[in-house]
This record gives sequence, C-alpha cells and structure tokens, in this order.
Amino acid sequence: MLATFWKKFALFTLPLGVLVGVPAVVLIASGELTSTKSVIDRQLRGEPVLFGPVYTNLVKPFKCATTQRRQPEVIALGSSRVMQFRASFFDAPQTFYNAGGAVNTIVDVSPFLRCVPAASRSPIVILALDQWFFNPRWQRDLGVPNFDETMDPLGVVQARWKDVYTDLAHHKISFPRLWDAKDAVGLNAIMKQRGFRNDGSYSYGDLEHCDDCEVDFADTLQRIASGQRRFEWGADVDRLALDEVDRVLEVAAANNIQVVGLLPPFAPSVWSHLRASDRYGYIDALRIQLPAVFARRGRHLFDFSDPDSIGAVDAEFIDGFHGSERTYVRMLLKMAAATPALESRLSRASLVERLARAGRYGVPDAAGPTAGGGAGSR
Amino acid sequence: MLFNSFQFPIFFLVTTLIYFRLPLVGRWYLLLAASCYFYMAFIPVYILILAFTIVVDYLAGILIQRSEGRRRRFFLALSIVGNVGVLAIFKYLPFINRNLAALYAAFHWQWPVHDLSIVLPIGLSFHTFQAMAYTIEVYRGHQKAETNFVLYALYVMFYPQLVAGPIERPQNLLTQLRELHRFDYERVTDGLKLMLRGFFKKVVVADRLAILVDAVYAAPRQHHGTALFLATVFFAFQIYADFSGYSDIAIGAAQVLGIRLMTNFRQPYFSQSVAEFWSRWHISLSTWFRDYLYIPLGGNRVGRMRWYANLMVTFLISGLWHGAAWTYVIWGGLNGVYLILGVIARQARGASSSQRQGEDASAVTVLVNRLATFLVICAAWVFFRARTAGDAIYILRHSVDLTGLLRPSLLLGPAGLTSSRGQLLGAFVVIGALLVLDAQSEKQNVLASLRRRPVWFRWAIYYGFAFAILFMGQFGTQQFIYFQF
Repeated sequence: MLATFWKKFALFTLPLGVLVGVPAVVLIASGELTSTKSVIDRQLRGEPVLFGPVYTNLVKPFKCATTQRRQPEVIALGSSRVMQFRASFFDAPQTFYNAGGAVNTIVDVSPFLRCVPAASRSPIVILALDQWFFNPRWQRDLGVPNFDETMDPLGVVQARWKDVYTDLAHHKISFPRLWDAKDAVGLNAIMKQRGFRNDGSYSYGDLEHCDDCEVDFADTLQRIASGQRRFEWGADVDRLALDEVDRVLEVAAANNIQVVGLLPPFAPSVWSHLRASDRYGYIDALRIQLPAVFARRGRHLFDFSDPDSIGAVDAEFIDGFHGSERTYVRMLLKMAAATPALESRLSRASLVERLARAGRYGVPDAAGPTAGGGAGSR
Repeated sequence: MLFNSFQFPIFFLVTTLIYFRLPLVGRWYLLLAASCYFYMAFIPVYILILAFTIVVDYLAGILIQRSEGRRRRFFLALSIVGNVGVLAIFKYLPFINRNLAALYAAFHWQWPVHDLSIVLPIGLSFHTFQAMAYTIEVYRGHQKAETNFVLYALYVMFYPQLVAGPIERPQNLLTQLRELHRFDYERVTDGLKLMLRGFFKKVVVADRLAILVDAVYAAPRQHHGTALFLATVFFAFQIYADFSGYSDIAIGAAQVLGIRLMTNFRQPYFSQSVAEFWSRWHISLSTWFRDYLYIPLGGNRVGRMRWYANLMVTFLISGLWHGAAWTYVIWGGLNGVYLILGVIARQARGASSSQRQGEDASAVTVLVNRLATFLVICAAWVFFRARTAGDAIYILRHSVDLTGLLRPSLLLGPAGLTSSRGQLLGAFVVIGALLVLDAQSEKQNVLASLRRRPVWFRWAIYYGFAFAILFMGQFGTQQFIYFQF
C-alpha cells in the first residue's frame, strides 16, 4: 500500500516538479541563488567577478559586507548616481570601494555608516546625495533599511519561477551562455554584462549597442513633464531630510569618518529643462541650504547639479541623470583639488591624460585601451 | 516556517518519510525535533519561552494530580499565572504601557516608560491556551497528568497546529500521540487533499484579496464608500480563507501522520444568526472560551443580567485575545452585543416558535438570514481590520454610499479598489470559488463523494487546484493573519 502511494504521489508531483524545476535550474545555473558571501569571497581573492542578479535585490547587504571585509580607505556612497567612481581612478586601487546602491534615501546613510569598519583609519566617504532625497513630495518610504538581509534560495524560486518563464519567452535568457558564464554571477551579468565589479562600481555593459538605453533623454524629460518617478514637482526643501544630513555628519564625525558631499550632475539638456521649469523650487533652495549644513559641521559639499560646473556634455551621459565615468573623473578631479586627503590618493596628471584618451563613456585604466562601453576591467 | 513557503513541502515530506519508518517512541522524538525546527525557523530564541511554559505546565500537571484540596488549586493557579504572565509580558505589556502613557498625558503628566518594542512570539496565544487546557483538565480530573516529558512537550509543540491551532484538548491529542498509527492509504490521501485545499484558500484566495484590502485599509479616507464596503466584504472572505486555509493544512498534515485534529471551521458564512456563526467559526477557540471561561462564570444558568454579563465578558476577553488594541476589544464587544440582542429577540419570539421557524424556513428566509448575519459580522470585522477605531468609524459611516456599484469608474480609479479590472474580477472569481467549495461541504462530505468519482475526474480536480495554486497564487512573504495572535 505504501509503495502504491509513493508511486502515485511521484506520478502526480512529477509534472509540478518539472514545471518549477526548470526555472530553479536556470536560477541556480545563472548564479541568481548564489550567496553574496561567496561572491564577496571570490572578489576578495582577486577573481574578476561581475555580480548582476535580476531576481534578487541584496545590494545593501552585499555592499555593507564587502565594505566591512575590504576595509577601504575611500568609500563612494550613494544611489546608482555614485556607481561610476572606479578603483582605477586612485593610485592604490585596493584602498577604494564603491558602495553605490547601498543608499536609496537619506535615512539609509546613517545605518550604512555602521558597515564602515572601525579598523579603517580615518576613512573618507564620498557621499552623493540625490536632489530628490530632499523633495518632500518624493514618496520613497522603504521602511528600515536591512543591511543584514540574507537570501532564501527557496523563497526566490517560489516568488520568481513564473518570471523566469516570462524571460525565457522573451528570449532574455540563453542557455548556452548560462553554461559558459564563469566570471559573471546573475542573469544581468551573464546576458548583458551589467553588474557590480570587484571595486563595487557598476558596469553598464555595451552602451554603444544598447537596445534598452534611453535615447535623447526622452524618458527623463517625460518624467519632468509629468512630475513623476523621482522628478516630482516640489517647491520647498524637506526640513527633516536636512536634519538627517546633519545627524549623518555628526555620526560620521563621532566615528572619525571624513565626509565629502556631492550633489550629482544632470545631463545638460535635462538640467536646462529643470532650470526652465518653475516646478523645482526645492532644487534651487537645496543648493543654498545643503552646503550650509555641511559648512556648519566643517565639511564641504560639491554641487555638480549643473553639468557646466565640470564641463560635461550630453553625449557622455548614460541617461538624463547618470553621468559616465568621464563625468565622474572630472568630478573627482574637482573634489580632489579642494580636498587634500583625496588629492594625495590620486595622480592628477595620469587621470587628466586618461580622460583625454577616454571614449564616449568609459575611462581607460592607467595603461589600458579606451573602454568605450564602460565595462572595463573588473 | 510558513506553510505557504517552498520549504514546508520539503520539510513535511522528509519528516513524514522518516515518521512511518520509526517505532512509536522514535516518532515522538522525531516530531518533537521537527516541531522545534519548524518553530525556530521564525525567531529561534523564542523557543525558550515555549520551553518555559512547557516545563511549568508539565510540573504543574504532575503536582496537581498528586495534591489535594487547596494545594491543587494553588498549582493550577501557578500554571495559569505562568501562562497568562507570559502572554501579559509579550503581548499586552506594550498595550498597557501605551494606555498608561495616554492616561498620564490626559492629566498633563509625564509617563516615565518609553514605548516598549517587544516582538510578539509567533503563535503565543495558541500554545499558551492549549497548555492551560491541559492543566485545567488535569485539575478537573478529566485528564491524567502526563509524566513523559517528551510526550507532553509534543502535545504543546505538535508542529501542524503549533502556531495557529486548532487549539487542541489533551484528551484528544495526547491520547492519539500515544498510539502507533500505521500507514492508511485513504487517511493519508484525504489529509493531502485537505492540505491542497488549504493552500488554495491561502495563496489563491486570501493573498489575492489581501492586495485590494490592504490598499484600501491603509488609507480609508482616500477611498469611495463603495470601495470601503467592498474592501470590508473582501476582508471577510480574506480572513476566512486565510485562517480556515491554515486549519485545513494543519488538520491535513496531522491526518497524514495519523492524528485527527478537531474541526475548526464549518462554512461560517452560511450561518443564519450570529450565535450560529460562533458555533462555526474558529470552533477550537470558541469552545475553549465556552469550557474554561463562560461556563465557569455561570454560563446561562444564572439570572438574565448575569447571563448577558457572562456573554459580554467572554467576548471582550476573546477580543483582547485576538490582539492587544482597543479595536479588537470593540470587535469582541460588538459580537457580544450581537449575541445578547439575539438572545433577547429569541426570548421575545419564544424559543419553540424560533426553532419551528428555523426548520420550516423558506429558501428566501434562509438567504435573507444569511445575508443579514454576514453583513453584521462584516460590520464587526471593520474594527478587527482597521488601524484605529477612528478609521473603523469612518469606514462604517461611509460604507453606506454604494453609488459606486452603479458607476464602475468609481471602483476602478484612485479612489476605488484598484486600477486593474482584471484584479477586481479575479477577486470576485476567487470568492465565488470559495463559496462553491463551502456550498459543496455544506451539502455533503466532499472527500467521500470525490472518492466515488472516476480517477480521471479526481486527478483533474487535484491538478486544477495544484495549477491554480502555482499560477494564480500570490507567493510573497504573506504570513497567515492569525500568526500575529
């Protein structure tokens, strides 16, 4: 009787098992279910690994854990608008780590500072503060940030198995490439060469031949026209957000962390639209009030909102509000000129020379070729 | 561990495979270890609270049996204080603290204790009530004290019903745990079918409705009256599908292992009165309150006013059991009022005529009674679900505006239930499916009738449920609603 039962049970569950099993195999083979710890282990061993999962979002714990283990002396911190700073911009690349993506709102910053190991000697944190962090009409209530989150592989299969079929149907997944992937973890990394490099910076893949990239900033301009998706119209600066910055600077000072603030740039065309609109009064007010908050704590804020401040042009922007490595080298040079602690960590002449050799987006390594697509070395 | 996680089927399969290969005593250890693992998948450290109550009640049971007179009463009191004390600390202390702070503030005084943030251990109210049922039954002489610690611990921790019931009695569960249950094909497959139905109710019905309900109840003042009304109706079905789904899975899982747990729901929305509703809804809790609170208070064998007071006290405490907030107390009180009004109405009509009426009632009368009962139960659910009493009153006051039923644009906009027509249609479809399931269960023993059908028909039904779960199920991190209790 027991044997009959198990036979029937197996027969009944087999089709269901296959149905869920195929996506599970894709998720395993693509590295989507790989733990962030094993990715960090490989990256710290020096293996070039591009980490770009699609179905999970563990950027916060990934960046936090890497920061704790690498003990960098210079950390870039912010949203996706800081991810273009590369370790190769510095004389000692191993001393830099890009924690871009760990911060999605201003309230994420203070908890992240706990990820900065006490063993790091007076680390410098280049803190990028997106302008909309200070717009009270930008609703981004994500709750308490969780920098200790771990992956539940079965939970991912359970939540995402149907999405895998959708992506297979849209030819977004190629089985031969799954099996060949060695230095890429996650479907984004395997299929589009997009993901976090060893230094934490983000590879955008082949931007020259990109079929889902923004053309002529159409999407960003649409956001401005409709006042949506980070470009909500707002007249006043969020007082609570400014207070939170003050608290961050206080916490940083108490932990011997030197904060260098920046407001990241918009593409020139986008900036001129923002300037022409009378619906973004909060940005004008922010550019006056935020530097004052930094100044009160003896820190400096670099305002790159206006791309003219670094001589950036539309062509070097990935989209309306993400500059490329070219843009970020210029920003770094400008910040270093006024920040001795940064200046001492880079070779200005070499960076200027590399900037001259740079392609549209990417900046070559010290002795390397022009990295047109921005993927560059890992 | 959540029943609706992919971990659970694997855990259940492995445990069951080993279970049937072990002798009786080995099964106790296996089930206890599995139950510990199951519970510790939530917040591991909270197993210490369970361990504390288990040790206290295990010793109390033995001491009650060995003692006589006032000492018996003392050890019973010790057990009840231990269990209620744990509940008070972890569930009610923050509530008491908040209320004291509010009281002080009303007098412009400063309450010194800041808001307490204590995470409520999963299923605390369930296992403490099950543990108290044991010591009370030992005290009453209805149950022998269990001297085998592992078996007693298993009685409290038996994983299928550990975190959300049914709240078992020792006479039923302990007795069955002592028996060696051989593999029985019919019993096992019936258990699996119950589990399948439970998963369907949870992930297809409850979690789908939750999306709409949560959006409206999060900001009731931004929604039209019709949306508020429908969200409340949807919540009535959501909580039923959620909780009865959990009970189905629990009862089914236990049945596979050979243990028959008590029925917890009997198509409650087919009730023709609130009194009948409470004999069909969360039966294991209702009977617990009846046996250990209402009857000891005197039940209905007292004067009329005292009887009403007994009903009210029972339901107010039941409300508080469901959650440490005034909204739950109001919900309990409202149900108490319904029952008292029902008693008064019955007395006014005369019991015999009422009974005759029930027997001879036409289909229309039955339908009207059921609808009326459903609507008053829904009105009480508003307090159960709303974030504040103020929100609840707002929802009740505005739910009478049903003009949106005539203007669908009001339902499918920002002030409506959802912007997705498919989502709204899906909600009605899953409610319909739930009602069909219940109508079948009301008429006949569905499992027995299914067994008489040809194989192809049965397998089509099973696959229908399985595919509905896989394709229509909402697989996120939705816990069962009753876990918070």
